[in-house]
Amino acid sequence: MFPLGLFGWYLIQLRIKYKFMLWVDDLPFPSVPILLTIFFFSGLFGLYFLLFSKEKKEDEYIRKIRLESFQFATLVQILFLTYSFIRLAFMKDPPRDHELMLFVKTLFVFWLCYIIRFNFIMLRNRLRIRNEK
Amino acid sequence: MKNNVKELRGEKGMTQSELADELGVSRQTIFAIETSMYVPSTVLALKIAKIFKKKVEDIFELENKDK
Repeated sequence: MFPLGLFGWYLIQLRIKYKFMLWVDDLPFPSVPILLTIFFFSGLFGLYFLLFSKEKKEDEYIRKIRLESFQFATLVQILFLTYSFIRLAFMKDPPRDHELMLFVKTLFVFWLCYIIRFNFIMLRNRLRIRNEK
Repeated sequence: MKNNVKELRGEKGMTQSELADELGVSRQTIFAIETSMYVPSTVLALKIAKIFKKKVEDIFELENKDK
């Protein structure tokens, strides 16, 4: 649900720049915003399902890894925002929907960093305990 | 903080999974405690001590860097 939603949303966004799927624009008026909304929120809800799914045994160590992953994601988000604002300040002709895209990117940077970091630590631990008795 | 959970588990002939099941935690937690990657909470330390019938301070020991 998450990759499909995100991919669909991104594809519709890119259609103007790379001139494909232009048949979407021939649909009656509210179709494009509705399609975009459906794809975006299905992606977002898919992401939230992924985030809030629990491990088989959700104990104190896993909660600690979750907390550290949140801290890591927050740090990355702050760095990303700082970089984006500095870039925006020096941009001569910023795109029209720059603020909206920045908001969406910031949202996804946070949650993706959290998921990647959390699952990386879990996978590393699983590989390490494979040889233990 | 160092501990001798691995040695005590070996003496009792328990596997990580068995100890994890008795404590109600994941096997990853036992691995993390044994390799000193994670310092357990007081409740979990007391549960471990109860299973091995030892005092907490006999299992967990402060290192010089902790003092």
